[in-house]
Amino acid sequence: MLILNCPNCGPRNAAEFRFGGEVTPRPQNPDSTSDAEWARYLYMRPNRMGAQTEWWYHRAGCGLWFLAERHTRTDQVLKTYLPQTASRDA
Amino acid sequence: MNAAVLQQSPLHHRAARSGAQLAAAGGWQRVRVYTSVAQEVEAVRRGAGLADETANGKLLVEGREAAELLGVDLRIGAGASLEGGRVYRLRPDLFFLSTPPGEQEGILETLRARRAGRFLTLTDLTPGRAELRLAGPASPQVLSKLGGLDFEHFPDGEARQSSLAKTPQLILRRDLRGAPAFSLITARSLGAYLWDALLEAGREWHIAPIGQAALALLEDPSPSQGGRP
Amino acid sequence: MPESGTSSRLGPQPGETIDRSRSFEFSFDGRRFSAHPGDTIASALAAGGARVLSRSFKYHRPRGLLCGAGHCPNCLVQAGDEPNVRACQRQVEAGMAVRSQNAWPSLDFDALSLTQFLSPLMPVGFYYKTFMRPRALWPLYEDFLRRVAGLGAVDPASRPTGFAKQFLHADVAVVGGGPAGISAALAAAGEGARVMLFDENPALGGHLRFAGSGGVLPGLLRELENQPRIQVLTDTAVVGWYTDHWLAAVQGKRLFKIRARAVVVATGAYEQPLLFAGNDLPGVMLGGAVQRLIRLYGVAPGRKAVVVAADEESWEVVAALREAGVEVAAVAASHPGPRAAALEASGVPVLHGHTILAALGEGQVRGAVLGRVDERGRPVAEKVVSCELIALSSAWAPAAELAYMAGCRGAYDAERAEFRLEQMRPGLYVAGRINGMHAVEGQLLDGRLAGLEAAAHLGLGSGPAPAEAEALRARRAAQPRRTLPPVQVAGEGKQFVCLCEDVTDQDVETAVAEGYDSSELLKRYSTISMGPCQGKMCSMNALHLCARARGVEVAKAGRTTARPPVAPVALGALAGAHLEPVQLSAAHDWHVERGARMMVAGLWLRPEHYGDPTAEVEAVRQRVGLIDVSTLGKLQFTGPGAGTLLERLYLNQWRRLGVGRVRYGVMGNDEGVVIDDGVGARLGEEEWYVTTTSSGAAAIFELIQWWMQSGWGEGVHLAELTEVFAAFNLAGPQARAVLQKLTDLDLGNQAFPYMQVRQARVADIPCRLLRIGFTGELSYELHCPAGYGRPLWEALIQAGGEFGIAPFGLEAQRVLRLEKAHIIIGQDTDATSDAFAAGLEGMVKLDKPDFLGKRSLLRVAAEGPKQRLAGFEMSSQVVPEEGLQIVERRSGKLEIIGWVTSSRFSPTLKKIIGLCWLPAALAGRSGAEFSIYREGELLAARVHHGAFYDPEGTRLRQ
Repeated sequence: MLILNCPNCGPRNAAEFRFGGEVTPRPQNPDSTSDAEWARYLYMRPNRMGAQTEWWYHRAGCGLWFLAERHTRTDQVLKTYLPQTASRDA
Repeated sequence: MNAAVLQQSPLHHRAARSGAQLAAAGGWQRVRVYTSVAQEVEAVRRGAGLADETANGKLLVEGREAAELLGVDLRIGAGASLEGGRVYRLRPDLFFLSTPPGEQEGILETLRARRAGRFLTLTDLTPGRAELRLAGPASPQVLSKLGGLDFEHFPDGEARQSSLAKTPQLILRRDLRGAPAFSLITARSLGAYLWDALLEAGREWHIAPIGQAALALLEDPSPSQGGRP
Repeated sequence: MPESGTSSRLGPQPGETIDRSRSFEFSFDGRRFSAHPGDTIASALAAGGARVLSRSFKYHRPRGLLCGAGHCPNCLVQAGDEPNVRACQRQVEAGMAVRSQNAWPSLDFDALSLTQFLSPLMPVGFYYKTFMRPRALWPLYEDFLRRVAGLGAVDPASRPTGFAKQFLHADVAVVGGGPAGISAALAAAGEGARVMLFDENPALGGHLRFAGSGGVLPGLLRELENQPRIQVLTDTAVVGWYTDHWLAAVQGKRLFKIRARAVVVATGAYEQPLLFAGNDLPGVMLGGAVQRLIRLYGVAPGRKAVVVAADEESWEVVAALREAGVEVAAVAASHPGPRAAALEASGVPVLHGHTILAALGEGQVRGAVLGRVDERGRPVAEKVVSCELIALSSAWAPAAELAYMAGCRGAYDAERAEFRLEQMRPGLYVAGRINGMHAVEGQLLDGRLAGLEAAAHLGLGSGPAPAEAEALRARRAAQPRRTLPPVQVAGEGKQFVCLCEDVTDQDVETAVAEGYDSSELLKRYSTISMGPCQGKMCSMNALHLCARARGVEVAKAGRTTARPPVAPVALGALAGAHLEPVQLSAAHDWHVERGARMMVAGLWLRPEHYGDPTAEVEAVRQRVGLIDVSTLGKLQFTGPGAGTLLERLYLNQWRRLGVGRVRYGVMGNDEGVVIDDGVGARLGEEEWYVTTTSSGAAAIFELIQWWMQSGWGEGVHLAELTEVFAAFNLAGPQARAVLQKLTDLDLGNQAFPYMQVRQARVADIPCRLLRIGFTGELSYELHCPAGYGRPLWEALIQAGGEFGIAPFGLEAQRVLRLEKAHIIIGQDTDATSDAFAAGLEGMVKLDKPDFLGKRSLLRVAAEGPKQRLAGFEMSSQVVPEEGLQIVERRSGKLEIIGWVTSSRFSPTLKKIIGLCWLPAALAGRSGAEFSIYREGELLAARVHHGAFYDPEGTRLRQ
């Protein structure tokens, strides 16, 4: 992947973007989350081989965070889209 | 108190030291002429010229109802004339307004008055952004040495946010009569760096700094407008 | 020996590129040569009779012109301060000082060439075998290897300029401007595509420029000129294909980065050398080099030639030689082309079924041994012919690196003795000789179809018509079969497979016998194909040798992976122009004018001090100082949801802060680790103005944006004002007096108390004034529109003159804050420092609803931190360097229990103070002693609680 399609700005050089890691939903009610579950949220990443959903940030462009489905073996981006406002807590 | 304190662009002291002719506009110090109007106009016609237009007004309008407030219907990147300036849509809920020097304050007031309970934020970015204008037939090529956009096919009147010389920029295409021209709007603190990077990239096309007088002449070459002090 | 004497320049040739009306001189190893504009270094040297251009890498064999196409290592020379210039590609310039490479002490007498007599001692893999032991001798070996392994000399004093990078955009990029490439470009542009056509040569045409079939070229060039959608870039070598159809290309000192939507690779094929004894002697040339010398530069490549002919193109070479008046002493022909008979009839001696068995000569070709190979593969010599030129026209390897990089596969076609490309990536097409089309009509048709397909891939046109596709299939089927495989091994003596690295056929056999029998292992062990040519001259032959040694078919031997760059690229082109962003504050010029020592802080340049940091500390403590803090991150949150967001982002309270008030804020992450701090001012009911650290400004803004855009942004807008406001901190007992001179605002302690914010005009400049105290003194942080930055700074300095104001830099600020035991996040904390451990428990409001870090801090609060940040005073006069370890003796051994994060001599307190991490229990005991390990010594220090200076904080509230 050398070109990434920003959902706002269109296809741009990948160097314009910052990688934001795998999508890791934050537990809905941290106060009542067990230590193990909280530790999993903080530290455990599946790092799977295949399509994974990850955050990207258009740093040199519009300043929007968006989601990309990228295949971790081929490095092909299957699609990109802006998050729904509430999706992070899902 | 001295009422005549003027704002300065990040290139002001450099220009002043080099003996450029200065003039006030909209509360800012600007360069009228660097060398001579004729030489500067010639540089733009033949290759490329670089002007410091930091004094131009720069506003951000943010909010879901921003388009409604501005009364414009634009796709991302497109622009339209508005209140003597030009408005560009940067994101679904974010618009950028470019105005002549000093006029942003009046527009700000107009928009605030029109806001009427909508949740909108108006920000005057003017002092926080350097604005350089690169003009001339070689300007797309100069920019292609610094950034990855297709500058040859960048539509006039539109805006793109992209990386140039390794720094984030808002790039507006604002052609002069008969010559492509781009406004490069970046963090004020990077103004001097960007200026130098553009002059270096444009060296092979004999780029030269140009003042407001040459720019005015190129913008409207009719004798009634151009060339007068 | 370079032969001096009569010029080899011929009379004018029809397609020549030189301008005979002008000539100039240049030098080669100090000797003067004459050249015409349009000559390459190699053609001018050939015209002047120089036959040896360089020495080889390992054995220092003399090397002459071989391929003439920029593909082989033979003509690498030093031109001025530039090493490894391909003499056959580089246009020679007047006065150019060209030197040969790898020759010591001189090209004619190369002492190192004696290494060829040592060759029994330098078998394949000799680096690994010989230089391993004894290890102590490695420095000697290294010195020797460096001397013999030279590839030109880099002049450390030279400062090359003019390197640049440039982006290009095209719908269709066509690589290679031969008949197939031109035809592809015309077809794609005809469908409406914007096309860029690249060729590494100075002119388009490929083999049409110098081969007999060039008649169609002028017509093609006219068509190109009339097609405005095609942009032609000559002298431009495409050196890499990258994902998403990015191409990298080099034109002189410029690197192009090309974003294409479709790519046609029409790069042709590399003419291959044959293997026979003496195949490396100067005077052995490929047919293409012979044709180029004659037709492009009007130079006779020799006076008497033997041609080894294996295909239809071979007869073009024979024809070119005869037209140039070169005596063709014999043609060893394994290809019975229709033109053979005609040439034979005109008196050329053709030896049918023959090939070359050996080249004769010492230092250069004097003759050739011709003969047959019997059915068991054994050579049967039949004839020795005297000659000074051996022209090889025998085999081709597709120039398929770009296609391979794009993921195509090469399948070996044994009948035609060449690789066929398969499994094209969408949007990538190949055409012409690379695709096995050796005759011009087929190349044109193949190119046209590729161009139409590329356009159709972009939705332009409907692709090739079925009839055209059928015609192409027919032409492909009619391609003549090769009668001579690319490899021919016979006879005695060294046969060089790899001309760059001096690897012989025997070396390949030895390597395979030793078990390095896959092409990738063979490459790494023998270094074959690892030299400047990157396998263009040797991969095919090596593959055949490897297959034969293993007793398998070529198709099974396996190709090595193609990687960029296809052609040599100067490091300067990869580096490009110097672009290093630097951020300067509005008062930067003032700082520089006043002699500030500037330091790099992120991308910013900031004053470290203005000459004497200690005096700057004293000025702030006793009088007044001014520091430029424009680099602070500045964020404005507005909207009904702003308070809620801030309370989620920060550890502390914001909503209870009254309008007009300021507070210190600390941001954590979900691990409970502190990641940033700053002050926040509540400007209105729904409006907060918050500063972040200078170093964290960009990252914190991005992080907050993420939280906002992923669900926490409801009812709040964030404006990033870092650059909009310049910010200066006026600090010291006289700060109020200085400021009062410039503003009507009542600065009295009652009217404008500590930790409050006001908006007022200062020196007639609109400002936000924050009364805060990082330095521990009465201080005002003034934020003004950045365009007024320098005027405000100058007004403050001027107003402070009568009070002895001093500008101060970061060093003084570090001391001032340390005297107050204020931490710097990122210096005194790291990625494991939670808020409790960092001594910020007072900031953490666990009674708030969910906020970043709360869940983790709840656990820390229950268990207590293991380590704590603590202040210390030294018992001695030594300043312990930041980063030194704190140790404790446990059962006779020193164990690390902590480390120093900040330390300075305090000019105010006249003692050495600092901050450090200690075990929590130790940190909790004020006055407890501990040891800092420094250069083998233990330095005594004592725990100090609270600020070192003005612990009650009365001065900043004055």
